[in-house]
Amino acid sequence: MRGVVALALVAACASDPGPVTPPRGRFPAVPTPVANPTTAAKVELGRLLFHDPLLSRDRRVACATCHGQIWGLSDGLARSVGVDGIGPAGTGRHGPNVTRRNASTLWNAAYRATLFWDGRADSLEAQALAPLRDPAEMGRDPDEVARDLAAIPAYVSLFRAAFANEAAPVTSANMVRAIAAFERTLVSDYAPYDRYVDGDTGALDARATRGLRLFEALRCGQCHTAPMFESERYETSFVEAVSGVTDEGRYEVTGDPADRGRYRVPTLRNAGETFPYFHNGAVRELGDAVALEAAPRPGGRALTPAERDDVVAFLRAGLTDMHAQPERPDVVPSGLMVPADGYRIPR
Amino acid sequence: MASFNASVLFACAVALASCSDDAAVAPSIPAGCTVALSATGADLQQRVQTALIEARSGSTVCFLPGTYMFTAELSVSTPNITVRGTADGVVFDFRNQRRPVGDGGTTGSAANGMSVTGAGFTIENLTIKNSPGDGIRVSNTERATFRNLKVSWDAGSITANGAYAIYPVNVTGVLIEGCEVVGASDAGIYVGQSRSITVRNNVVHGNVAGIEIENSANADVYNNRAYDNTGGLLVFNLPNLPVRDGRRCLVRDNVVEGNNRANFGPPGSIVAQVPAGLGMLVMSADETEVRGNTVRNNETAGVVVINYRSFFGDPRDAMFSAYPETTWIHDNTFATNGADPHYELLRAFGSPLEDILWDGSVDPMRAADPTARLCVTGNTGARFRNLSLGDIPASTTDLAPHNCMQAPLPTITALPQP
Repeated sequence: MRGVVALALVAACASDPGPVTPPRGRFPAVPTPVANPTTAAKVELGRLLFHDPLLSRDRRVACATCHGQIWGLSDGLARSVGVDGIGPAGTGRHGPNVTRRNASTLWNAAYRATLFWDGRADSLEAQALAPLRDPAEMGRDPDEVARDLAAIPAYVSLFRAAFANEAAPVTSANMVRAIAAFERTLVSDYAPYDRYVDGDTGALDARATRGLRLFEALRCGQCHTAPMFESERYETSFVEAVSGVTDEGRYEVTGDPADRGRYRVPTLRNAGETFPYFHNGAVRELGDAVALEAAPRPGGRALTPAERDDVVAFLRAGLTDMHAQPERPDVVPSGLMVPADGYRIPR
Repeated sequence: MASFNASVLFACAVALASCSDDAAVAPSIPAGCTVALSATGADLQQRVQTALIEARSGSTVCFLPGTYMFTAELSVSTPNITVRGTADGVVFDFRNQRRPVGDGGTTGSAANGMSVTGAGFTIENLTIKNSPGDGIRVSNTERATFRNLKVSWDAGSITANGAYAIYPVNVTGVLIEGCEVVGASDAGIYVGQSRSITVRNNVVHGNVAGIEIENSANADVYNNRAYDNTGGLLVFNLPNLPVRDGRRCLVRDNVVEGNNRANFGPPGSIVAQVPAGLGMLVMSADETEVRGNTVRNNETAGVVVINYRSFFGDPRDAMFSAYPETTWIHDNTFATNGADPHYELLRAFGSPLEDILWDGSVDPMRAADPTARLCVTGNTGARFRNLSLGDIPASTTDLAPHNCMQAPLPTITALPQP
C-alpha cells in the first residue's frame, strides 16, 4: 500500500514540481458566494467580529458565546442564553433570555445549503443577521452595530483591508460577509474516519471499526450521509417538546403540514463535543442519543449497550477533527471583554 | 523486514514529494523512525506540516538536530503518531509565527506551537520555544505522552509569553515526564479536564504557575521540582467547564520551594491574581492527597486549601461544588513558609504566617462526615492555621480537629501506550 502511495507522489512530482498540497479528506472545495470571496483579511476581520460583544445589546454576548471553541462551536446548553445572561459561555450560563432551540455547531456550516434547525436561512451571510436581531439572542440592529464599528479606527482599517475597493466599507452587510468568511474556515474534514477510508486502517481502533460497521448496517448514513455525516433532509424528531415552547420545526418555513415537527438532520462530525443533542437539547449523552435514534428509524433496531458503545466510539474517535478550531483573540478592537472560551478558562 | 522496507519506501516518498528539496531529508533514516526531517532546506513549514499530515497511524516522525524556524502552528490529527528529536539540539522555534492580518499589536493572536487532536500522540526529545500561544496543546483525545521536552521563551519570564507551555486538555491518559518548562505567562504544565494522569520527574520554574491540575481526575504527580514560580503546584476545580468533577489527585515526593516570583500574568486575568509566594494550592478539588513533599521558602504559604468562593466569589454555576473536600496532607517536610505574605487578605492574620492555611470552608451538608474532612498528620515542621474566613476572630492554629486519615490514593501505574 505504501508503495502505491510513493508512486502516486512521485507521479505528482513529475508533472508538478510545486509545493505539495496535503490531502484534505474527501470534501469538495468550500462553496463560496461570488459576492463574498474569502480572503485572509476578511477572515481575520470576521474572527474579531465573531468574538466581539459589541454586536449585542448588553455588550456581553458575542457570536462566540453560543458557538464557543471548547463547546464544539456550540455552547453545551440545551437552549442558549442570550443578552442579559450571567456567567461565561458554557453550561453554567443562565439568564432571562433563553432561545427556543439548541445552538447548532458551526463545524462545516460552510457546506450547508440551508441553516438553522428549520432551514430558514440559505446562506451564512443571511444566517448571521438572525441572532443579531433576535431580542433573545444579541438584540441589536445590525446597522446600529455598523455605526459603532465605524467609530472605532482599528475596525475601520480592518474593513478597508477586507473590502479594499469600497469607498465606505463599514456596513452591516460587510460585517456579516466577514463573519461568514470566517465561518467558512471552520471545516472539519480530516478525522480518523477520513484517514481510514483513505486506506490507513490503523486510524480507527477495533471498537470504532465495529461502530462504523454498525453505523452502516443500521443505515444511519441514509440521513447522516458521508462525508459530511449530515444532509439537507428534514426528519421527525422523537424527543419530547419543551413545555411552554411552541416549535413546529420545518413547518414554520414551508407551511406544509407534513413538515410539522421535522428538523434538519445535523452533522455527526465532532458530535462528541456538541452535546446536548437534538433541536431542543433534550438529550445530554451521546450514547442516549444514539440509542434513541437507532431504534425507530428505517433499517434501525434496538441496540445492546455494547453496540451502542461501539457506535459512540466510532463517533467520538472516528469523527472528531478540530484542526481548524479558531483562536480566541485576547483583545478585540472595541476593547470590550471577549467571552471566555474554556481553552483559556475564565482567565 | 518487509515492514522495514515499506517504511523506507514511504520515507523516500516524502523526500520525493518535496522534489526541489531532496537535501531536506537525511540520506539515511535513523532506527525507529518512519521518516526523518531536517531543519535545512526551503519550505520548512510546508514540508514539516505535510509530513505530519501524510504520516500514517503508527508512524514516528523524527527530526534531526537543528533549529526549525516555524511560521505557523503545526497540527497533528492522525492517531498514534510519535514526534521525536533524534538527538540533542532539536529546537522548534516559533518566534516568526505569523500574526493574523490586521493584528497590528492590538488584537492578540494566540497561535500555538503545536496543536494535536490525534489519539496516542507522543512527543519527545526536543525543545519548543517562543510560541505566541501555548507551546503544545493536545485536546479532546486520549493517550498523550510528553517526554524529555524543554519549553521556554527566550525573553525570560514576561507577560507577552504564551499562556501554557505543556497543555493537555480533555485527554484520557496523560504522561508528562522529564520536561523542563520556563517562562509560561500562565501555567508551565497545565493538565486540564483530563483523566488518568501521570506527571513526574519534571522541573518547572520562572512561570506564573508551575504545575496545574485542573478539573481532572485520577492524577499522580511525583518527583517534580517547582521553584521560582509565582505559585508552585496548584490542584483546583473551576466552574463553567464541560468537565467539573476534579478528584483523586495524589501529589507526592515533589520539591516545591522558593516560589516567590512577582506575578507576570496578563493584567485582568485570573492567573494574575495568584499571590506570589504560594507553594501549593488545593482549591475546590476533592480527594487530594499531599504526601512526602518538601515545601520550603515560599513567602506567602506552603499549602493553601481553599474554596473557590473565598478567592473568586460566586462561581455562578449551580452544578459546581466549590468545597475542597477529603484533603489529606501528611508526612511532608515544611520549612520557612509564610515569612512575608504577598496577599492583602492574608496579611490581616499577621506575619509570619503558618505553612498550611485553610479557609475553614466546610459544606454544611457534610459537616459531620469524616470522609469529607481536611486531615493533616505526620508532617515535619508544619505550622497550621484555620483562617476561618468571614469570621477572622475565630481563626485558630489548633491542629487537633485535623488529626485524621483519609483513604490513601493509588499511584498511577497504567501509562498511556500508543
